[in-house]
Amino acid sequence: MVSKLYPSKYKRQIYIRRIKNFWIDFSHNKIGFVGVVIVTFFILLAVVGPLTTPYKPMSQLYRPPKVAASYAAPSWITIFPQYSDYNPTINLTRSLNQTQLANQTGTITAELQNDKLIFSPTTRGENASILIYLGNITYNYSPPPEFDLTFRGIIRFNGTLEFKTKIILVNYTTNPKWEKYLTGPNKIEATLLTFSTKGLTTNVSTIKHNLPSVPAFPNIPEPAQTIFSEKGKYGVYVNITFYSIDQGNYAELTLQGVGIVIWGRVHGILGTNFHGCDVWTELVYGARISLLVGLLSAILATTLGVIYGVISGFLGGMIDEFLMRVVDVLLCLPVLPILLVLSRLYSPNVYFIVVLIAIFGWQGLSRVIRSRVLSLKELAFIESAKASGASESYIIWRHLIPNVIPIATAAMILAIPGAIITEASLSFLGFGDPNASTWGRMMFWSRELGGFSRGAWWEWFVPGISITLLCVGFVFIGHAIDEIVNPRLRIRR
Amino acid sequence: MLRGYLIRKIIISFITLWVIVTLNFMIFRVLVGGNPADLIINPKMPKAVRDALKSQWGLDKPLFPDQYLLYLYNLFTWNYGNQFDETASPVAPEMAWRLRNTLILLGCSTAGTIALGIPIGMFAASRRGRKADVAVMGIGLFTYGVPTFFIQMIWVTIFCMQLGILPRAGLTSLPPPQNPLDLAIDVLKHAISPIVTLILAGFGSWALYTRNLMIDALTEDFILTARAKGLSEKDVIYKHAFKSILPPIVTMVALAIPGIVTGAVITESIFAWEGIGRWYIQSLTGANWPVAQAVLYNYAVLMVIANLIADIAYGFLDPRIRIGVRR
Repeated sequence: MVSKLYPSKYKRQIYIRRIKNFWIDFSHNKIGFVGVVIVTFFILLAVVGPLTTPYKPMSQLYRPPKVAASYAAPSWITIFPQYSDYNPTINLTRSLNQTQLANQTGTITAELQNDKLIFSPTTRGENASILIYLGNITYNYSPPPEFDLTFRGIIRFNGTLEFKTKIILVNYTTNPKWEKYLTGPNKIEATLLTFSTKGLTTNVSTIKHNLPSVPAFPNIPEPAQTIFSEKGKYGVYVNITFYSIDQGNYAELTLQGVGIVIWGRVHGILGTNFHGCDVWTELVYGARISLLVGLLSAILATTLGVIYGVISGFLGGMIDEFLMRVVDVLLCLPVLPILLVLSRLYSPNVYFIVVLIAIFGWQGLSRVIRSRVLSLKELAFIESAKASGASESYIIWRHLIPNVIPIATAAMILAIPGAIITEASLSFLGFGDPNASTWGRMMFWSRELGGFSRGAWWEWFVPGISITLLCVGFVFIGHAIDEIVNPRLRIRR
Repeated sequence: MLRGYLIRKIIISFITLWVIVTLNFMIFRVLVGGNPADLIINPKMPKAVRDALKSQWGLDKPLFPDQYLLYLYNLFTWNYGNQFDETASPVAPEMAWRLRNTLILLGCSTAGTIALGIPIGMFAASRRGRKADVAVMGIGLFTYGVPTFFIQMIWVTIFCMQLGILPRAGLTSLPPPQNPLDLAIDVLKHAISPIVTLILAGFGSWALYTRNLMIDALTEDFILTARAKGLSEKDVIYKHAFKSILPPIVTMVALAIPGIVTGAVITESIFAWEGIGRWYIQSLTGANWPVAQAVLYNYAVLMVIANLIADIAYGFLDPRIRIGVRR
C-alpha cells in the first residue's frame, strides 16, 4: 500500500539522479580515479591476459611444458648491454620430412615424406645405418645453461633387433675446447637412445625420450658450456643404426621429432620459474584468482555484515546486546591461524577459502551498520512508516537497507584488499588451494625452490607488486567512495 | 561504574576464551574425522608415554563430557601433551621459550608502530590538505594494500642479500656467541629486520587512522572554545584534541591485534624467528598436531588478553565510563 504512494517512473528518476550525482562527485576525486585506472588494468589483465599465452598455469596435477632453462630471465632484459648475449631457447627438433638424407648403408629404406624409416634385413646379423642432416644452429650468444637431446617416434617391429640413435654436432670453425672430446673431424657425438626388442611377435611401441646434456655427454664437464663455448655455426646430424640378429625381421620407425633444444637464459615477458615454465602465464591466471577471491568474499562478507547489523540494530534490546557480544567474541579469534589449520585439515579449493574469509570478515562491518541503524531508527521517516502501518520487514527492506547501502558499498570495496591479502598470505605460507596458481603461491615457490635467493625477481617481485597495486587500487576507490558517502570525512569546498 | 564495566569485560573475556577453547576442541577432535586420538598420540611414542597421554586426555572415555572437560582442564593448566617426534618431548617448556621470543617481536613492533604512527598522523592532521598531509594519506593508503611479506622480501633482498649488512634469518648466529654482551648484540642484529619491517608495514594505517580521528576532533566545539580562549595551536592539538581521541585509539589497538598476529606468523616464517608462529607453520606442515593445538590456543589467549587490556585502558581513559555518565 505504501509503495503506491510513489509511481515507479518517478522513483527511477530519483535513483538515476542519485547515481549521476555520485558519479559527478567521484569523477572529481583524483585518488578514486587513480584507483579505477589501476583496477581496470588488472581486470583487463585477468580477462585478456590468458589469451596472450598458449600455456596453462601450474597446479598440483598439471605442469605446463618447459619453455626455457630454470629461472630464465625476461627476454626484454637483453636490451641492457650486460645481458645482451643471453640466448633465447633454440629448438632444432625436426620430424623426418623436414630433414635431408646425408648418407645411407644397408637394407634401409627412407620414406622422408611419411616420416618413415623401414629396415628389412635379408641376412642374419645384418647392419644398416642412416645419417640425416637436421640443420644448422647459428649460435651468437654466451654459453647456454643447459640443452636437451630429444627423440619422439613410434616403432613397429617384428623379431629381435636393436636400433641406436646418435646425435652428431659439427663445429664449422675450430673450437679448442672440443679437442679432447672429438670423435671425428670437428665433430662430437652422443648416444641419444638405444632401443632393443625381444621376441618374435609384431609389436608397436611409442618412444618419448628426453636426454639432458649432462648424462648425454658423461665425459665432458659442464657439457652445455663447453660445447657451445664459441659463437658460430654448428651443424646437427642424426645417425640411426639398425642391427638384426635374425633374418626375416622387420622394423618401421616413424620419426616425429629428433634433435636438440638449447634452453634459453631469457624467455618471454616474465622469464621462467624453477621448472622452466612460463611465469607470465602464472601471473595472468593468478590475476583471475585474486580478483575472484577478493570480490566474492567481500560481497559475501558485506552481505552477512549488513544483514546481521540491521537485524541487531532494528530489534534492539537484549537481542542486540547478545548479538553484539557474539561479534566481540568473534573479533577476538586469531583469524589467520584458524584459516591455516582449516586449510591444512581440509585441503580446500578456492571457493572454500572465499567462504572462510567471508565468515571471518563481516564482524567489523556489522558493528558500523548496527550503529547507523540505531540512529536511523530515531528519524521521523521510520516513525511515519510505522504509523502508516508498514510491517517490520517492509521497513527493513525499503528503508533501513537502502540507507545503509552507501556505507556498505565503501566497506565492501575496502574489504576486498583484506581478502586478497589473506588469500595471498595463505598461499604464501604454502596452504590454500593446491590446484590454483595464485600470486601468493608463486611467491611461495620462489622462496621454497630458491628463486628468491638466486635473485629471480620476476617470480616474486612481480606478483608481489601486482598484489600491492591491485589492493591499493581498491583502497583508493574505497577511500574515494567513503569521502563521498561519509559526511564526516567530506572536505568542505 | 568503572568497576561494573571492568567486571563485565572480564566476564566477556572468559566467555571468549571458553568459546575459543571449544572451537579448538571442535577443530581438532570433532571436525577432523577419523580417530581423534591420532592427534594426541603418535604410534612412534614409547608405550609409557602413550599410556600416560591416554589417561591425561581421557581418550578411552566418551568425547563429551569427559574428554571435553579434560581438554579444558589440560589447556588451562599448560598441559599440552607431547610432540610427535622421536623424543616425544613435552610441548609446554618449548612453548614457554618460543612464546617469549614471539612476545619480544610483537611487543617491540607494536610499540614501534604506535610510537611512529600516532605522531605522524597528528602532524598530518595539523597540516590538513597540505603536502605533508597528502603524503601521509598516500603512505597510509599504500601500506593498507601492501602485504607484509612483500615488504619483508624486498627488505631481505636489499639489506641482507645485496648490501649484506644484516643477518638474513634466525634468532642468533650459529653457534651463538658465549660472551653475554656479544650475545645481546647478536640477538639485536637478528631482531632488527623482523621488527623494522613489521613497523614499516603497520605504521601507515595507524597514521591514517589517527589523522582521521584528529580531523574529526578538531571540528568539535570544545576545540573552538580552546582556540577562542587564545591557546596556542600546539596546546590545542596536543592537549585538548589528542586527549579526546585517546579512547578510540585504544580501541584501535585491540582491533589491530589480529593483523599483528597475522603479520607475526608470516614474519617468523620469513626470518626463521623461533617463535610460536613459525612453530605453528612447521607443526601444521609436519602433522605435529599437539603443537598446533597448543599454539592455536595460545594465540587465542594472547588476543583475549590484549583485548582485555585495551578495554581496561578504554575504561580509564574515557571519562564517560570512568566517572559514570551514561551515554
